[in-house]
Amino acid sequence: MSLQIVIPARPRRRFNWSQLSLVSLAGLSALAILILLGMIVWMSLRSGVPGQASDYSLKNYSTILTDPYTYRVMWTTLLFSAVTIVVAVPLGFIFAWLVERTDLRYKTLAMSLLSIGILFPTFLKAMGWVFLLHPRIGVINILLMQLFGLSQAPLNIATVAGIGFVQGLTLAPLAYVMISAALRSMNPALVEAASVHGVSQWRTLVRIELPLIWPALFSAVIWMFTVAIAAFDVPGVIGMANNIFTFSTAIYFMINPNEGLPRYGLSGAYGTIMVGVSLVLMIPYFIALKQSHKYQIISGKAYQSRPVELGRWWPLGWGLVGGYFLLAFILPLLAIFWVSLLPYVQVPSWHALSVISFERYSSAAFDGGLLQAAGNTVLLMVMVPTIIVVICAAISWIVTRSRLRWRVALDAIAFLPHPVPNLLFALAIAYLALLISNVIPVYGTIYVLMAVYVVCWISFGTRVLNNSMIQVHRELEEAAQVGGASTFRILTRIIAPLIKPSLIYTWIWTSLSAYRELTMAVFLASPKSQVLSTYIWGQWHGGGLGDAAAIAIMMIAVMSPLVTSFWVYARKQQQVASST
Amino acid sequence: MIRRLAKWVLVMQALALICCQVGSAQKLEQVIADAKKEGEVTLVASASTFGGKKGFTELENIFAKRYGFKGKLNLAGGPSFPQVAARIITEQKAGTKSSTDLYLGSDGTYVTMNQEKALERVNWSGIFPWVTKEMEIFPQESVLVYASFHGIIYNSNSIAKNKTPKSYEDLIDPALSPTWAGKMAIPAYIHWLIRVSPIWGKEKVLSYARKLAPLVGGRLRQGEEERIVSGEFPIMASTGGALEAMWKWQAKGAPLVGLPGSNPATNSYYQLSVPKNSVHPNMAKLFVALMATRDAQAVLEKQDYRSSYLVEGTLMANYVKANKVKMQDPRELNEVFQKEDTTLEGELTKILLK
Repeated sequence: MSLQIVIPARPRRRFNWSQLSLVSLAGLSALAILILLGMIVWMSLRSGVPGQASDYSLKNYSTILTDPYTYRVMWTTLLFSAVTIVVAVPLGFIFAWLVERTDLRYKTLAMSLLSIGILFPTFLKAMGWVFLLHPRIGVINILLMQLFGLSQAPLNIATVAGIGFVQGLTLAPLAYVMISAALRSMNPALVEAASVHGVSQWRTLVRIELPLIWPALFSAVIWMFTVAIAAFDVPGVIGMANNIFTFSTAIYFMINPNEGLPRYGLSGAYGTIMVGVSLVLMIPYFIALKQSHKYQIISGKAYQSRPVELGRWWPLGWGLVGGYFLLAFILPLLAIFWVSLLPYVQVPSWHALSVISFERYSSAAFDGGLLQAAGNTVLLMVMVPTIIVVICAAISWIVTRSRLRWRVALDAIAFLPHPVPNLLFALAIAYLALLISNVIPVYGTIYVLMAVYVVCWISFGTRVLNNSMIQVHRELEEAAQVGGASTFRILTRIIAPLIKPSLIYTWIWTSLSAYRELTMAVFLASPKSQVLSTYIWGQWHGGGLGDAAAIAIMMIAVMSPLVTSFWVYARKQQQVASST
Repeated sequence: MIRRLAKWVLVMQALALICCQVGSAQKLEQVIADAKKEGEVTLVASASTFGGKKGFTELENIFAKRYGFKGKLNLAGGPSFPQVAARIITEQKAGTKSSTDLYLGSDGTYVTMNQEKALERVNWSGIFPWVTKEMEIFPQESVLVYASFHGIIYNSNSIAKNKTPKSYEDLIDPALSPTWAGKMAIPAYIHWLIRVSPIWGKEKVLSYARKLAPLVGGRLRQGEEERIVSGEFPIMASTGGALEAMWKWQAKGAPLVGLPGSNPATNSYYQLSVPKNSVHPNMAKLFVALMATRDAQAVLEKQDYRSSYLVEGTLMANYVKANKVKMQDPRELNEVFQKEDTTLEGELTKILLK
């Protein structure tokens, strides 16, 4: 019997298609981000409009840097951002402290009231504030003047401080979210020690709690600042008609000029400066974030802090939360509703009451343009988050699970849209779409809006998914690999179910963002790609204040139950997924 | 012999006329046939244009009656006239289709559109029998939709009777101006001052702008009269269509007063045309011509109190006839804008808009 030695054939190395598709998807997304950022710099070096021949020079920079108007815009933007921070961060801190550190009753309700404001578009609140606090037509001002016999309005929303106040009010819930996370993970031992030694609650707050969460506060300040310098909603609705121009509204007028052709070159130069400022601001932001880990203690050891007893002060706590809800949501909404019922804007009076009607609602209900805008909005609310979840899952998988050499660079690129003002991406994609319109005719379509939303919110999605993917142990993946599962199968069958809460959270958040978004849409929307926000903006900006108000109320009435039930359902799903 | 020759000439003339009419009718039929395939047309303009949604619904019915088919007429609320013009030109230079099928604007921006050769050349009066040569403000490019008197509008509840302005000069009168100092709105464009430059001269215009600038509280677009009606701004230094705005809002019981800003009064000629890169050019042609009919003018009058003085029987035609008003020659006005002093424009922009 002869002995046969069987030499196993060398296993053929199979080409991993699923890995390739993930890498390609992530790579293309990163490339899109870089191209758009490059486009802003490229624009700044050229003159004329897309498609026109142009030399390359630094002329646009010298033009804006020698124009006093630029410095006025810069100063206004700084002032506006400062007021925004002064309003948003203290409010956010107070709410976070009340919810996280005290025994405030009905905390869940308080948290819901704080977060429900996020669901409603900022520009609608800004519209409401014009009717509340304008020195000549603001209801609150007129009431105060009548009550105290004043000859002049005591408050003025049509100022830099006024628009900063409104922006701050709308950003307070975001500050609350950022700060509450830090308060939750703060070391309770030091607070307990202070309490044992008889230190007063106020002193504990000032000397212990505030220093402990300073990195979070500082991060919130920088974050609010980057949001404020790019914000268009409030400066557009209140500021533009009142000669108050910030970076975003100044760029809007460069692209939509009242004299001559759009000045893409100048707006590119403005944009490049904004990118520079934002990136520089990210340095202290990251330093602060890095520092924050030093102040956290979450361990297996008894991690329970005793809440501050509010005692008889609890109504004050609720007064603050309720007052905020009233100011940020109820009053602006009531003001818009009032205006929507009138033939022209009037302060409440018996005469005004005698002429109210629902005429604007009945005519808006059959408006084809409005229905088309609503359809486009819903399309974006479904498509944008779906695409984002897929792309971000691919990027996060590469960043957290693969051993690819350039994964750190990929993560950094995916983060770039976070600090860079979103309107610059809109500007860049508008330019690019015009440039390639002969080859790829997407200019003026809803796909351009879809693309820019996806690019801008990739950073958010990857932050959330990176954090949750990193928590999934490699053993599971390795076991599946041994079993012969493909990367795609591992991702969809093992990792995705495990990180389902984060996927749902990312989906919901970006869907709601697509519903609220105005800044980017206003730069890109055309008659066929109108969304609800730009439709209302068009009415408002065109002088149809009453029509804009009626459509805004309809938008809130129709979309709110949908958005809220969707939010509640998704939160439940998230909780179920987390508990399993 | 002479009689016979005269007869022959007359017959030939009549034949030529008939041929022309037939030719036009054929052309119009062709436009209608092509428009039917397109089915819709979009105008990007202020949301209140031609009475907004209501006006457009009425215009759709008139359109169907006149051309024998139902076309969809869309109004997309968008930026101001100059901003739309800038967008059309940009899109054209980039080689893409226009976001609007029609362009509505006044003389100042039309000169730019004409210089940029952005508009399709159409033999309006040749194709549409009711359009006259006089209505073609830029021959074979644009058709007059309505004409207006430039002037001041103010809220009569906010400005006391003894403080009301009577002309542009009164706006900077130190005896009156404290009433609106810091609260006055001006147009978001400077064309209204370019219009008075032939009457006042460059130096006076610049000196006027310098005195006006410190009084300005905001800037509004044409069509934003509701912000004066509401009292948000008590007065607007100038708007195209001051009288029409007054008629329109007073009919609703609103406290708005309008008056011409200068003597002689300056006019604006609002025209419609078809951009070269229009997506629905035939529907656009039908719409442009429709707006020069008495029926469409009636809708404009009803919704906006605006009309063309060149269409018989309209509010504006009757007003001009009854008051023996001499309108500025639109072609002369075009020349003013064509020869426009760029330094004046630049200076005015710097003084008032920056």
